Amino acid sequence: MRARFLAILSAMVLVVTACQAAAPSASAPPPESAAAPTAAPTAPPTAAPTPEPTAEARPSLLRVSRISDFLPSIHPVSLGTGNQELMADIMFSTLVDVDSDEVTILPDLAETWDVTADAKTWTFNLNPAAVWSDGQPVTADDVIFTISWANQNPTAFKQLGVVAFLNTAGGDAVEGTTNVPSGLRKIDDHTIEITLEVPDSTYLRRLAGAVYYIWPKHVLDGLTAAEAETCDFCLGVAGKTPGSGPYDITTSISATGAGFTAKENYWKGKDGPFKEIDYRIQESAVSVAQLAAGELDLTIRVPPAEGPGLAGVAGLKQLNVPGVGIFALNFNHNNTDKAFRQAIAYAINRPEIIEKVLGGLATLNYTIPPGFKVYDDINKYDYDPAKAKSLLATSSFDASKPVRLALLAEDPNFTVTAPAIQQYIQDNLGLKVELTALATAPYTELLEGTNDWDIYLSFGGSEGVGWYQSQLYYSCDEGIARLYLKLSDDRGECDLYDPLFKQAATVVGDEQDAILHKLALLLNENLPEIYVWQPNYLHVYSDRLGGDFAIYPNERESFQKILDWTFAP
Amino acid sequence: MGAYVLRRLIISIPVLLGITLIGFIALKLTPGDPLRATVNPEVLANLAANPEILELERKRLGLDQPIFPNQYIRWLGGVVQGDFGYSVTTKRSIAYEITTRLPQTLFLMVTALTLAILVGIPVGVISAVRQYSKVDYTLNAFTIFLASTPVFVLGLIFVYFFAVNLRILPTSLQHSPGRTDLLDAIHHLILPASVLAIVNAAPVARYTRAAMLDVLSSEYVTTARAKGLVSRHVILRHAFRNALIPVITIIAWLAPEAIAGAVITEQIFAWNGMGQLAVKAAAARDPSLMMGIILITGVTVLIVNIIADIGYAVADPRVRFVRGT
Repeated sequence: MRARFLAILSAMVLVVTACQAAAPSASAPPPESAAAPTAAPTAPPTAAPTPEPTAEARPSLLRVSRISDFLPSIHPVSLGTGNQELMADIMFSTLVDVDSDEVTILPDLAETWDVTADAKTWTFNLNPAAVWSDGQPVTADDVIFTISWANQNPTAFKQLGVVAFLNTAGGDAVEGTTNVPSGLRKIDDHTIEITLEVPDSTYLRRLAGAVYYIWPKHVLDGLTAAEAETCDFCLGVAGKTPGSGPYDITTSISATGAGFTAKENYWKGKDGPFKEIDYRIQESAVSVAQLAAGELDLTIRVPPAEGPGLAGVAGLKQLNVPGVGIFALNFNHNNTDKAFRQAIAYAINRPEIIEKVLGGLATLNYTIPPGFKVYDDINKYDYDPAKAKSLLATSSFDASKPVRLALLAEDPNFTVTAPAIQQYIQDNLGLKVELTALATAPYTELLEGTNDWDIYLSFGGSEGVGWYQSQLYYSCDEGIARLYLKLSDDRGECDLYDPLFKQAATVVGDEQDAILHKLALLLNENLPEIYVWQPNYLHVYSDRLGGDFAIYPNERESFQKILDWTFAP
Repeated sequence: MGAYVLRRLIISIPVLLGITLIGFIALKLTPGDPLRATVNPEVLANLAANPEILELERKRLGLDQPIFPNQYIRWLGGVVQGDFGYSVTTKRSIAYEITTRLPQTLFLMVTALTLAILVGIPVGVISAVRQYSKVDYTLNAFTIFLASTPVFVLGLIFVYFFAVNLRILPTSLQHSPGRTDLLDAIHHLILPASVLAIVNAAPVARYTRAAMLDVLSSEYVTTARAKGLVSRHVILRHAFRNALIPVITIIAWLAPEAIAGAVITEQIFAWNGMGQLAVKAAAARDPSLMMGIILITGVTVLIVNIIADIGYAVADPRVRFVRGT
């Protein structure tokens, strides 16, 4: 009986497998070829046109996953994870794009733009060919609608802020109304003039972020703030989410991902290199197994430890690059003073942790945000236990009490490095360090609702993109600094950094550099938080991917250039 | 029998209410604010910087009311009207979240349990009939080995061998991109269903063997054999039928267990079912979603128990659906 059953089961497996092989499957393994690690393709795209695959040669499907958080929605009010931003990149367009150098501004919806000498009034000339998925033209009305809605409902944005949109002149006056800010002026159907409240030399760079994509007015007109979280468009329902990007959503967004189909005759004159994209949100172990089995073409952020195991898989390449996120020690300023924070900086041997704990796969930082230059007079806080001990002696920290170090339990970035940090502080400062590893909800409760912590470990963000990305962490207006660094008006900390950030955005060149230098020295001296290292990310991809395919250090921008990718059949 | 089933269903209502009430209060007493578990720390900071928005959001979700009776009655009233509430994480209705995943879990679970029964019962019967033979020792060793092997170990071995190494089966997911046909679904079902089936077949085999040994040593079996009945008839018609009651019990126990067990299996095979949903709901402390899952699990347990009671009577006519029993 058992033998008969096994025979039947085996036969079923063979029959189904044979049928699968005969069916037009999209999951056929890649062609056999040697895998070889490659250098990071960080060079900007060349001007030379990439060969367009023929209709016959164009592969049907790109299977991709990115291992990180995800919220199953697409409206900017709920846009808060890199996965959402990558999806938004292929579905929508922003006014301008940014090149892989994170500096060069490229056209997107706007073909050209102009700015007055005071960096306050910007004129954008939209590409008249731009259309939404449903054939409606993209016009200045859509841009005015998008920016107006943000100013009318500024508190609706619960994930990423839209500070560039909110910097529109007259924006404050329209909050809670349906009026258009005075700073927005439609010149004609394809030309719009935007006057800012405060000059901003980083305006274009900010506008290139995915959260600033332009919305279709004819679909979202009349949308309330509450509806922006639940409407079909907002949740990414297939057929209800028209965009102006090269891909349409054809499998609605869910917790497990989404499916996209390339538009035919895309208005930029070049169609997406893949007919379909299957974007998967899944556990890293699942992605690794799929890569090894030839069921995935690209995985962004594979755990580095998986690199050697995947190195031998035919048809796969690996890309190990520094990311733009940053690992930091954040301090409770109610419980710690400058001398204590400096003592901690000297007590931890950061290069040794990078070498021995992280296997060398991280870039050392010198306490200041990674978007800042490392000026010659920056104190690098090289490992110095003696200096650490003498600083501790001058601090107000009660050495008889333990240092309470909090971390997120489920994140390996923290669980791997926290014991080493604990050991250095204990050995060099003679302090007892209590590690508190918690799940997200109690962790957040602890940090936000109590003072029962002294240091917490953080990781992420995109501070490496540019200095301006760090502004919100030091602005008490944003609330983040007040809550997570416990910066305080009483201690005068709220006025230390934010004004300099704002001032730097109003100027350019040497004048800006001088302000940033001053700011960097201030952060370096006071250490409101300590930026320690930028971990590398491992990306694994099929060797069929070519052209201008790249996963940039700021991987959130990578899909913006998908039209220039190629995929060998 | 109809009256019996109706009576059992009516009795189930207070049991179900008790389950949901305990679950509801336990969830509410767990540390951590469900509102805070839905957004990342940066967002929390922004929300907390605007306490009035925080409060409005809390009111909108009814989180400012006492847990019992207000919040519970509010939840129960919604359930009775078919409104299970909304997930504070995904912003979608609980009904949507569950109805999109329950069929996937049932597809996996029913297949796996059917396979487990088809394998486990014959193995148990053969093992009992040939007690102390080489076949018995081999099957015993095999079932003990499988019963003591964690499902994730077996799952990973299967993935490595059949999907990564041989590439004859997919590693994960319920279907290939762009395909929704049954053949493709079966192709993806084979690995997870096999793992769950093997893990569940082991206890079914062990219980069947024990029950059969008990029955085979009964006097009526000896009498049947003495009357000259064919051995197959004695085993299948007399012994096996009487051994079915404990087997039905273990199957009834495994059925809801399979939903819980599928948590791990669904994670390994990226199976978008109730198990994955439960993990996400727990991690995010999504109260409405967790209550929806508790309700579904409770209903499953009660239904399976009623089916098991009916099964007892079918297997053994001495069991009667008498009023008061």
